[in-house]
Amino acid sequence: MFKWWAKYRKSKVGVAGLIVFVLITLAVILAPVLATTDLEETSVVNFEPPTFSHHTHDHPYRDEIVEHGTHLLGTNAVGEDLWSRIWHAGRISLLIGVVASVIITSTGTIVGLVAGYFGGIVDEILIRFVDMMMVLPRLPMMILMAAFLGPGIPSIMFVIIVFGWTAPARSIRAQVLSVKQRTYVEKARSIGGSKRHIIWNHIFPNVSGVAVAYLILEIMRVIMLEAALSFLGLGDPQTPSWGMMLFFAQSEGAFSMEAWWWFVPPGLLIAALGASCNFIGTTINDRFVLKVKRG
Amino acid sequence: MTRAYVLRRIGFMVVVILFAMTVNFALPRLVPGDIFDVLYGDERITPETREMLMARFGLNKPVITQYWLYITNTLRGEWGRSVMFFPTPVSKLIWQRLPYTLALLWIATLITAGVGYLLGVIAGWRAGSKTDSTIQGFSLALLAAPVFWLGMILLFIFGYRLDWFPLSGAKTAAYHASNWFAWLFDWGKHAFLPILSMALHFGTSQLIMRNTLVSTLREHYILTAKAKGLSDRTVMYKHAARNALLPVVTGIMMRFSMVIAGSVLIETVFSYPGMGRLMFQAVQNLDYQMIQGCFFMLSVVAIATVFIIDLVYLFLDPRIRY
Repeated sequence: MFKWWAKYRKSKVGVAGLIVFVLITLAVILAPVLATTDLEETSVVNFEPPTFSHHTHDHPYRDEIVEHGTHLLGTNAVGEDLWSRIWHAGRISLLIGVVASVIITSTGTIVGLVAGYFGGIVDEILIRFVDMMMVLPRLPMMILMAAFLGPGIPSIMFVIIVFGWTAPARSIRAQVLSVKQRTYVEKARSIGGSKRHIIWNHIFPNVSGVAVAYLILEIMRVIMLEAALSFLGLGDPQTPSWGMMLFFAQSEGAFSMEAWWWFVPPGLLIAALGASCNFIGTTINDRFVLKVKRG
Repeated sequence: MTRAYVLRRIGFMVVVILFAMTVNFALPRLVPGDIFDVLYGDERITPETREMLMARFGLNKPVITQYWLYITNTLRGEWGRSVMFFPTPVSKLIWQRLPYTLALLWIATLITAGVGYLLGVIAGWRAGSKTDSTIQGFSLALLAAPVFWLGMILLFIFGYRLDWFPLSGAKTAAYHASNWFAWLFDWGKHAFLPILSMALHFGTSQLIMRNTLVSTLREHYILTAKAKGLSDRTVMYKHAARNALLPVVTGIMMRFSMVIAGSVLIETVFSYPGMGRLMFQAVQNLDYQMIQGCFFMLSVVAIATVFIIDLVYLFLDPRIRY
C-alpha cells in the first residue's frame, strides 16, 4: 500500500486530481452540515443572485436579500437555496457514478477474463456484439430504453449499466490475451494449476491495474451520462442531481432571467470531478499499467 | 480483395441495422406491462377495450408475425404516426429535420478532427514541453465539461448577453433569403454556436494524434528524413503527421456515437429543429413512435458514416488490402 502511494505521489497531476476528488467527495458527504437551509425550505426571494455578485445592488428585492443574505449561490425560481441544493444533488450524482462504475467495471472484467482466457464461441459472440454496440448511437438507445422503463434514477442507472459493460470487457479481454502468452502462465498450466487458479492468481492480478484505471475513468463517464439523461428530462424531479439542476435551469428559463448562477456551478462541479477522475485514472494507467518512466 | 472487404462491411452494416430494428421491436415488449398500461394506466380501460385495441394494432398476432410486419414496415418507411404532431407520420417529421442534424454532425466532426489534428501535431512534436502540457491541460479540461453545459455557457454569453447570435431555431422566421448566399449566411448564423459547442470537445482526437505522433517520431524514417537535412516543418507535416493520421480517422469512427449524443443535447439547448430536439420533445410527450423513429434514423446515420470512414481509410492507407 505504501509502496503504491510512494509511486503515485510522484505525479503532480495525479495528486492534484486526488485532492480535488477527495474534497468534492467530502463536501458531498457533509452536505447536511454544509447546507445553510433545509432542502424543502424556500425563501421569499426568487431569482436571488449569489451574495458575492454585484447584481444585488440593482435587484428589485434588494432589502429582503440584505436581510436574508445567506444564499451563497443565490436562489432558484421557487426561492430554494442553491448552495444547499448543490451539495445534496452532488450526493445523487456521485452515488450513481460510483455504484454504476463498480458494477460496470466488475461485470466487464469478469466477461473480459472469461472471454479472453477461454476464447472460442463466447469470445466470438462478445467481440461481434461489442463491435455492433460501438457503431450504434448510444445516447439515443439509452433514451429509448429509459423512456420505456419510465423516467427516474433506477432506469437511468439501469441503462447506463446495460450499455456500459461492453467497453471494459473489450479492453480487459485484450489485456488477458497478452498476459495469457507469458511464460509464467504457461508454467502454472504445465504444473497442473486449475483454470480457476490460473485466472485468479496469475491473470487477474496482471489486469487489475487496467481495471482500476478503468473504474476511475468510468466514474467520470457515468456522471456525464447521468447529467445528460437527466438534462433530457429522464431523471427524477424529486431527487435532484447536478444534471437535474441543469434541466431545471433550462426549463425554468435561466437564460431569459439572466440567472447564470443556476447553471454555472453544477456544470463546474461536474467538470471538476470529471477532470479529477481523468487525472487519477491517467496517472494510474501511466504508473502502474504502462509503467512510463518519468523524471 | 478490396471488393470482398467492401462486401463484408456492407454485410456488417445490414446486420447492425437489423439489430437496431430488433432493439426497437423488442424493447416495448420486454418492459413489464403493455403499451396500454404505459399510456393509460391500469384502471382506465376495460378488458374488452384492451382486447379490441390489441386486435386493432395487431398485438394479438404471434410475435414472429409482428416482427416480420415491423421489419417490412420499417423498410418501407412506415414508422407510425406521431402523437405530439398527430396525425403527421413520424417519417415525414424526421425527413424534414434530418438535413439540419446531418449538417451539424458532419461539420462538427470535421472541425473537431481538424483542430485536434493540428493541436495534436503541435503538442506531439514538442512532447514534454510547456506548449505540450498547456495544450494537454486545455483539452482535458474541456473534455471533462459536459458538452451541453458548454453550449449553455456559450448561448448565455454570445446569445443573451452580447446578442451576437440568434437564440434559437435554424432559420430566421418569416425571412425569405433573396439568394443562396444570404440563405447560407442565415443558416450559418444559427448553426455557429451549436457547432462551436460540439467542436470544443476536440480533445479526444488531439490526444490520439499527440500520442501516435510521439511514437511515430521514434521511427527510423524520421531520423533518415532529419539526416537528409530536411527542415523541421517538412519532417513534421510530410513525414510524421501523415503517418500518424490514420489513428485519428479511426478515432472519429469510434467517437461518432458520442458526436450524435452531443448533437441530441446541443439541439435541445439551442432549440435547434433537428432530430435531437425532436427526440427530446418526444420524451417529454412520451411519443414512443417518434422516439423509436429517431433512434432508428440516427442509427442509420451512424452506420452510414462509419461505412464512409471505412472507405476513406481504405483510400488513405495503401498498405491495407484485405
